[in-house]
Parts: sequence; C-alpha cells; structure tokens
Amino acid sequence: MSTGNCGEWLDELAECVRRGVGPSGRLSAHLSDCARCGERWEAEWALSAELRELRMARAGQRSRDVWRRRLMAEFAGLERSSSRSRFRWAWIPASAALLAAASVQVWLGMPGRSVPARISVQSEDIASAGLVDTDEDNGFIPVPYALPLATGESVRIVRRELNGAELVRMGIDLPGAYAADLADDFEADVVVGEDELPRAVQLVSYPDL
Amino acid sequence: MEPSDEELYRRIRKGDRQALAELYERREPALYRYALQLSGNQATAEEAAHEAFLQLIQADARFDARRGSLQAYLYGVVRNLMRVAYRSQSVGPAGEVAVDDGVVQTLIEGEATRALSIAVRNLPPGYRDAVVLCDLEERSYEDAAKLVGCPVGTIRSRLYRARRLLAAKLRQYRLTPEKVTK
Repeated sequence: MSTGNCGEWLDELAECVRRGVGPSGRLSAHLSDCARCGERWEAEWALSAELRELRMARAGQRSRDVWRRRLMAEFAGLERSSSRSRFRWAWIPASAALLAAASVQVWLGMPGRSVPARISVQSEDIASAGLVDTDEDNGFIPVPYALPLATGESVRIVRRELNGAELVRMGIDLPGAYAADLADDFEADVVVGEDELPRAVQLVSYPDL
Repeated sequence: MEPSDEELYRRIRKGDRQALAELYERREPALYRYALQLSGNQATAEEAAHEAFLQLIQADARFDARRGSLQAYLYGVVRNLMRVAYRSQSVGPAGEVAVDDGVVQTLIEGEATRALSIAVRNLPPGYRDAVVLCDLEERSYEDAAKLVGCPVGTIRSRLYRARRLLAAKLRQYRLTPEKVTK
C-alpha cells in the first residue's frame, strides 16, 4: 500500500518528534513502509534527546549580580551626565553673568573703586539739571575733553571711591591746596555715559570743592 | 498587571532605575541563554547580554516601538554582536567557523551533546536562530518569528532543515566521532 512520497512527511515527522507525540495513523503507516523515513524518525528522536541535554547543560546557575551592578552603575553615570547636559545651556548665561559680576567686582576692588550706588537717570534729566555741560555751581565738575553725549543717550550716576590721582588722570585740575587732602580715597558721584566713560564728577565728601 | 517592556523602557528613558532593574530581571536570563547558545562561550554571552542593555540605556538608543517589540530589539542587538564575533573568528578549511567553546563545554557531559553544541553554532545564521529559539529556548514559532523578524513559515522551514542537518551530523558523529568534533 502506498503511503505517499517521503517529502510530504518530513515536516510532520519533525513536528511530532518536537512535541514528543507519536505519529498519526497515516504517518505511522508510512514509517512502517519506508525504511528511510523510519531511520529519520529515529534520528529526530535522538536529536531531540541531545538538544534536551544541551538545554539542561546551559540552564546552569550563574551569578548575575556583578553584571546587574555594572549596568546600574552605567545607568547612574549616564543619568548624571545627562543631567549635566540638560543644564548645560542654562549654565552658559549663568556663567557669563557670574564672570561679568566677578569682573566688575575685581574692577571695583581696584584702588579707588567702589560699588555703584546711584540709580540710572536719563541724559535729558542730567542735561536739564545742568549736570554735564554746565559750570561747577551744580556741584558736578565736567570732565574736560570727554566725548559729548549723543542725542537720547542715557547716563548713569554711580557712586565710587576715587582719589586725587584719578581725578587728575580724568583731567580735572585740583587746586593745590586740596591736592594733599585728596591723597586718600573719597566718595564721589560720577556721571557715566553708555560707553561707561565719565562725563562729570561730584565729590560727595568734599562738597565745597 | 505588570507593565509591558515598552512601558518600562519609557520609564527608563526618564531615569527610572527600578524600571531598568525590572526589565533586566525579566529579559536578561533568556537573552543570556540565547547568546550562550549562539556563541558557546559564557563570557561572550554575558558580555553580549550586558551590551544589549547598555545600548538600550544610551541616549541615542535606536529602539523604535513602531518597528517591533523591545524584546526583538534586544535579541537583534545580541544577534548582531554574535555575527561580529563570528566574523572576527577564523574560518576553517571546510568553511565551518571555529568557535571557542569556553567554559560552557565543561558543563556538557556527553560527547555527543558537545558535538551537537558545536554543530548548532556552525549552522547558517538563519537556521541557527531557529534551532536556538524554538528548540533550545522552547519559544513558539510566532515568538521566534517576531524576534528574528521574519514570517512564521520561514522559521518553521528553517527549523526543519536545520534539524535535518543536525540529525545528519549527530548520526555522522556516532559513526566517526573525531571527524565531527574537530
């Protein structure tokens, strides 16, 4: 009795062995008739037994603790660097601001410098008050040869500590009688333009100068 | 209900260490076994499984849920690492890749099983994946197909062909053991 050609049984044969079940009626009949397929059936069973051995051999215990810890450490490291990069852009303006503030502090920390104390005022106010290009009656001494203020340019009045030498460098000619007294630092209100150059000075400590 | 792999991945991206630990516990053992079956070397397998997770946590991880499951991604990474490892090894005169059996072979007591282990690793990559996933990892055809990224029918036919090759190797080993294990 013919039970079909061998090719059509191969897959079913392998599937039966994989599942560990016996052959169906027709396959069983074919295996009885076909010595070659009978051998294959035996070979598949032997293979499955060896694969099972292989599976068991490799299911042995091992310690994953070291690898788990390594992974967690890597993850923590990545998180830290990620946090750093997340705030990288925020640090740029912050650093720039800090740098600028430090520069100002260093500059102000130089002899004769102090923290600005006055608020900004508009040049119109200064001009209308006659602070820049007026005579000495208002208390402000114009800085000679200073660049004129542009129209609409704002000025600020800042309080600084100056000394006589600095006034001389600005071109302000001090009467000889005061020169010796002005060797020490004194407070002054300085009118500065947007270019930060002084335009006029008022000596706070020596209002009658 | 436990969270899906993909949900854990989303949490990992937000820096959730617990999610990573959970995913590791869930997937690493099978991933390691898969790498072990492909490489036959415990150290290589451990490195590969570790590397797969490392790639997953990198800022530029290439996992895309639209392209497949996270599990498939992890298996894909290991598979690629194994391919690189195979390429870097010498190829014997018969065209078979010589594989260092490493520590794993000491766990295999039977000579025939040891020969089979070598034969599995020397199968063509597609066949090897099918045997490892379906017969050694005992995954369904559907699972294996998803992990490999091919149709179910392809996995099935590869598996049957691979088994025929392996059965022939085993039979040959029983006749002349020294030729097969060399």
